[in-house]
Amino acid sequence: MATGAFEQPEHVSEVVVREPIDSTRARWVNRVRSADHKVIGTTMIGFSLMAVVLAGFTELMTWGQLAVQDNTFLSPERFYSLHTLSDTTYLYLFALPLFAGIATYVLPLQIGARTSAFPRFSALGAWMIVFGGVTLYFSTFINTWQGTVQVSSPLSTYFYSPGAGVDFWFVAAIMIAGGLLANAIDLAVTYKTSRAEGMTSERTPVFSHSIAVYALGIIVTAPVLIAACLMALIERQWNLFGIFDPVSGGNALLWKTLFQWFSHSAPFLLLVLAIGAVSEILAAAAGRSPANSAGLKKAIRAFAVLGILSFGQVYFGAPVARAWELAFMFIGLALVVPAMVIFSSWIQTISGGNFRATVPAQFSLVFLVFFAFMLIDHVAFSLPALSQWLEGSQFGYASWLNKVWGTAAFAGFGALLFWFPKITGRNFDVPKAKLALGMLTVGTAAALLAMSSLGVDGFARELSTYSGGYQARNLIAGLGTLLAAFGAIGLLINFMQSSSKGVKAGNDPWRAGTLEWFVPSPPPVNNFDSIPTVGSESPLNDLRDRIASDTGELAGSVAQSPTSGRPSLRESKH
Amino acid sequence: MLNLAPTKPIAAASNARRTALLTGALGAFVVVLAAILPQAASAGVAWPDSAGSSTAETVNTLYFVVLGVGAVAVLALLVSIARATRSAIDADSVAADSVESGKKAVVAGAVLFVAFAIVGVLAFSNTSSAKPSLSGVGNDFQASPLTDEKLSDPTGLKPPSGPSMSVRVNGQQFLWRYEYPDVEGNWNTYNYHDLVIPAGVTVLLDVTSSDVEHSWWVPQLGGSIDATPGYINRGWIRVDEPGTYTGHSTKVSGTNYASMSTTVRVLSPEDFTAWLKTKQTAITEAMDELGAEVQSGEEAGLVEGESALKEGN
Repeated sequence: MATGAFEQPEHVSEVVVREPIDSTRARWVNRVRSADHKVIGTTMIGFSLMAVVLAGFTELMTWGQLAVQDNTFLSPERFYSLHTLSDTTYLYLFALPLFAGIATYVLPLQIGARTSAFPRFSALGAWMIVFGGVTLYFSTFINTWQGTVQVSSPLSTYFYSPGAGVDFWFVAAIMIAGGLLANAIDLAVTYKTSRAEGMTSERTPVFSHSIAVYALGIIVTAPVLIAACLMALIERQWNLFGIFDPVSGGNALLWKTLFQWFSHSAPFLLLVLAIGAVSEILAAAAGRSPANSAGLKKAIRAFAVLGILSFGQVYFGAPVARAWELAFMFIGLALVVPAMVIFSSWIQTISGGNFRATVPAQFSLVFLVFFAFMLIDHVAFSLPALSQWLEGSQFGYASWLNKVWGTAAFAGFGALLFWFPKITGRNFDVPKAKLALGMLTVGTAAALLAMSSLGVDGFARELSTYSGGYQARNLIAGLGTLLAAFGAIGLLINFMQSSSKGVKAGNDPWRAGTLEWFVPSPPPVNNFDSIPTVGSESPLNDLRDRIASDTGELAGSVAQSPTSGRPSLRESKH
Repeated sequence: MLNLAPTKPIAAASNARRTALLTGALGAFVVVLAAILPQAASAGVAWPDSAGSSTAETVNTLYFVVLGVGAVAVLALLVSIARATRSAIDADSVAADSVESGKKAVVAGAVLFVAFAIVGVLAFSNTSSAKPSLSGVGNDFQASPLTDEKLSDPTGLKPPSGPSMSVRVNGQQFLWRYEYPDVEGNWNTYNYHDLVIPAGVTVLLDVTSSDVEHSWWVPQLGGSIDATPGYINRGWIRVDEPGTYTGHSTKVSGTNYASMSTTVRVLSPEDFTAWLKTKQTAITEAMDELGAEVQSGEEAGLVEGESALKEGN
């Protein structure tokens, strides 16, 4: 059928992936042993969705404490333990693995590769993240870290935090960052080496390009986090000399620099993937390729560089020479330029009358608004005087939550919904997904606005208790979080039910332009029987055009026919 | 160009009753929110409290600038989404325009950048800490009791000239300690929790920490100043009218972080001098008493020890 429209390579390669699926083994054994990027990707996605349930549960307990003033529901020790767990889970176990998992799943399909470059490296990464998460939660039974996700030293040294919880936190962070790093190396090399014939760098899909930018960002930042956490562990365990504790000759600002290089950059790297995914979703909903894609890709690169470099905002108010404040102010403010280009591209993409408000596109449009608020916060935090005033208040914490949770909830879940038919071969339940979006939007907005308002009113960040005048807004924030949690749970139930009981989706449900929609849903182990030659950045739209001009009829799905005899892991059930 | 038939990609298998039920729950939630909101609104939810000093005034101005530009930007975004999704412009012309509008976006971004940068530089020279070059552990503070001399600052950015005094601010788990110099420059007067300062005098704050990281923040007097162990961070405040301002540390410093608040009490210069004198006297008397006790204790101990020795022998 439609495949004939492509220039077929002369030899259709045999299956290049040696997938050790053995139907006599249990499914989880196959999953652990798999070197299929799709299995690795779904492992990461599934794990991140389990993690968000834990994070939501722990966060709601902290909101229970804050719902009433002078509350004694949780002791400060318990409060900060749960608070640290929930925030760590949101960033390290939910948002980053969710996006990394989607990237691992989609990248080879999108660039026309039968496998990723180093699939076992990605598998290692995925399982390191899983065991990092297990390590983190194992500490709950011993003694958790009572700081925050923004670990500060010397509070984290043995003298001030003698419990083993901090050690667990550092080990977990090392494993997760190591896992992300291994995965990022695979992604970057795959992008560089495995593209289909004809897919020049101008023709790579925007999401694939943003995956490459994200991967380079992780390669630049994650090793520093690993080093910093190792140094902190050495200081804690042996106590021979001070590294970060000034009492024994260390330097607390050194810790800030090393730690924030990753910690401040991670939300921006999340945003890079979010921007890429949203560009694809909106383009598919408008039946075209992303507008001004060359400018968009440049803007994504600039966004990543400026986002990472703006880590110097953590020096505002700190004892460093004032010239640095000016330098980081300019770097931070410069981010508005790529941001304007990105927004302009999105608006252009959805203009033109063909836009269908599909559910992923609705998630993306909500993300656009939350993203705008993130950028306003970013401008505020780039101005030293205002940053010193806002960052330490609950406004600063709300802004962090927006960057991590807002990005993952709207762009991340949106991307998951977009590729859900490809991953599972089935459709999700549309009305329930829309309802979940409504609950997520109202709940998150209520919680973040209430917290921002508290911060502007002088409420310091991440307090475990308070008195006087702040109760209504804390209650609103707690109720908003509860509503968003119900939305997220509804979405997860939707995913679980639809992945086995949903309506068959077909291979190309969105009529999108990129190559992953050319293969069956779910894709076979080797992805492509024949890899099409790519002539533009939306090859499937080219194909539709050619079918239309050849036959005079509109093209429907243009995916290749399902491959027989090469079952995906899902279908290997016995 | 091909005009794709807008197909509804996913069949809606809706359960109308359950959806209605859940929508009702959502509505009820909105009603609850609406009931709580007026209470929240009366607390002045969207902007900072009135500034107590010129630094805080600059901060408030910056806040309103960013809030205003941000509100316009979000409004513009919503309008352009609404327009883009409704208008039926020919897709080909849009594709041709997109590169052009990308260039326009760069220009618009650059204009915004320059505008914010100008505002930022103005605010920067107007406010905040007059940081000296880094000073490490062991550097002694320079005693600067109430003087009229102008301060020299290696960065060239100075706090206002005029009468000034120095106060050492020390963050500790979980309170703030303030030290004052006497006329000879001895830092022997101190106070916990409350920073008491004279009105109309530039108070230089040498902020440090003796344990973990803290941050000194009084919202109505400006931005926070980090108390980093091993460093002396210099900031300044100047309040022209007597009054009381409350603040809180903004760095989670351990379990009792929530109790680490502070108060700034601004007195008239006369009241302040009187307060300082009382405080000094009280501390001196207490120290003398303590000294006498220690001495008598030591003597008693010595006598006891001697007798014990003798008995032992």
